[in-house]
Amino acid sequence: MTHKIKRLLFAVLVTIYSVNSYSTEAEQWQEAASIAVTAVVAPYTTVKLSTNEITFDVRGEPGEYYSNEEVEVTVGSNQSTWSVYVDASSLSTNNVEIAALPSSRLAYAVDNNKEYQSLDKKMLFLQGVAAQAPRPVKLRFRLTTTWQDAPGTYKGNITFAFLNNP
Amino acid sequence: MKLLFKIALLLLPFSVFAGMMNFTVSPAIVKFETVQGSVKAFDLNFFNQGKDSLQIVVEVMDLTLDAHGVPVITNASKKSHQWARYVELSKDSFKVDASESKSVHVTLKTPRGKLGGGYFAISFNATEVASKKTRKPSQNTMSIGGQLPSLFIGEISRTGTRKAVVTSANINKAPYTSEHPLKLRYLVKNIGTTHINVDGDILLRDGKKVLDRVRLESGSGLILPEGSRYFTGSWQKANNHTGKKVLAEARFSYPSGRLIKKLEFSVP
Amino acid sequence: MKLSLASSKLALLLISIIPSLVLSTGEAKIDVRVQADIHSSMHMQWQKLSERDERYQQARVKLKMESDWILLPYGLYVELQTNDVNKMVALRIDDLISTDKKRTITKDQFYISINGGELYSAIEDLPLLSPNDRGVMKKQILLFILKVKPSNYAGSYAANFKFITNTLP
Repeated sequence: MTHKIKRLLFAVLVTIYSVNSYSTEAEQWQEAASIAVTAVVAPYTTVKLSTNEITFDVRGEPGEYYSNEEVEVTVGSNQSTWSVYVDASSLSTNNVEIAALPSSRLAYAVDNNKEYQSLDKKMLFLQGVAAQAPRPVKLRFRLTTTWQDAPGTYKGNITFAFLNNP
Repeated sequence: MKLLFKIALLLLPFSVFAGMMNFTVSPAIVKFETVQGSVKAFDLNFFNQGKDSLQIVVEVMDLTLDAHGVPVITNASKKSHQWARYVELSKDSFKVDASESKSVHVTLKTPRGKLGGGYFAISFNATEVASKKTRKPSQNTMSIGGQLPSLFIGEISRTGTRKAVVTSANINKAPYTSEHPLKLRYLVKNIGTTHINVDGDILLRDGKKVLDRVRLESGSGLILPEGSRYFTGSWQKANNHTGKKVLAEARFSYPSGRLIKKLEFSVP
Repeated sequence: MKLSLASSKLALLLISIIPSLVLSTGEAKIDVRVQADIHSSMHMQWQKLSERDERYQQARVKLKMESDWILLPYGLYVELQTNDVNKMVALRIDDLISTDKKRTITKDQFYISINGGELYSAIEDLPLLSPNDRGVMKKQILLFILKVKPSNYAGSYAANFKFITNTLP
């Protein structure tokens, strides 16, 4: 009996001590200084293009021809707002005697939109906000040729420019 | 009394006698080198760019160039440098629908002992596919078709000799104006065994003094063996040198060769 | 101590701002290559003209020919266009053959007038489109004239016309 009481008293004492220790520890610590913590989340923009080349095969009479490939653009950003522009260079051949095709001959349409916009100047085609889930956008391209365009292989670039707006 | 002579050309009914053709053959010109006794293969692609079906007949023909560089396609022969007789086709006729393309495989069995250049043309002769309603077997018709040849310009490697001569030099008649300038025309003949591309210019002198330099025009300047080609230079400033005695030194160059032809004339 | 802490805060704040500024003032660009293969193209279109056709009449008015020659009562209206500077088109006419295949009128008796202008013999191919015409739509009215010989027989004849397209090598 006595042995049991002693054990019980010991357990109570340990418990009390533990609690007191905790409060004592807490009471022992005083605020000496505070440090401000700033978590830096770096801004990012992810850009994905489905292809790095589009081709046109102009076999018939001059007219409107559509590229063999579509370009799928997927943009994600944690910036406040962002914009995507598309711009085209002229298309030229290695033969200096053959006139280049101006960029105005190229046009694009977005997703299921039937209307094509000319690429004679830089065009804004996509905008988004932060925390927007990335959604792929398809661009289709069209080239207009005329009887004045000599046969040959013409090369150029379509440039996608991504701008984050503060 | 004159006999009235009537010739009636039988024709299809007016309403159907309209046609359109739009086709292309690729490649249009094939330049190649080959080895004696070897087999060389090519593929030609015929594309019907029009809206109607076409019936095509393919033939292998001889190829020469006239003095203006225009291809002359004639029936296959045994003339030197004509290789039409060594060529076989995978098909000699076919039908091609609108916006459709068909290919023809061309096989050349390069002859032995025929050194230098060899030439031939594959001629595609197109006619519209006649419908059963418009064609009556008993009635002859005025037919219209199109022909588009693909030119083959070949050489047995490192066996051809390149040599040319100027066979004539002429000046056009005065008076000379800006619309009708003084022109010098030369005829250059290829006496080698393979084709050459020739270009040149004319140096115009009055004694030792150089009056002008004029470029000779002749398209690509290609001349096949045994063929000749005109080279023409226009001197716009002739009227600035009235009364002078001018020495025109025409200088031609081609791979491994040069030619000079001098011509003296007085500017009226 | 306080000053150093403030400096730290400022430093951290600046660090968090500057990358955003950099991205907002600059652009990221990606190029997509474009290649367009334009092939040689030739357009040929024709239409037979009756002598009542206005275009036939316009050309006929200008035509000069001998009185004993025969102007055929039909012409040909031709439209030609190409984008290729090395292409040219000519018209070739074969000998005329009677419908019973027994008679021939050789093509040296056959002449063609373009838009009522001078006569060209059908012995040689008649140039209709030259390299200088590249890109241009050429519209021409062709009239056909026969120089009849006493040895020619009257009757019905058939003719073959062919547009020859050549590429200049």
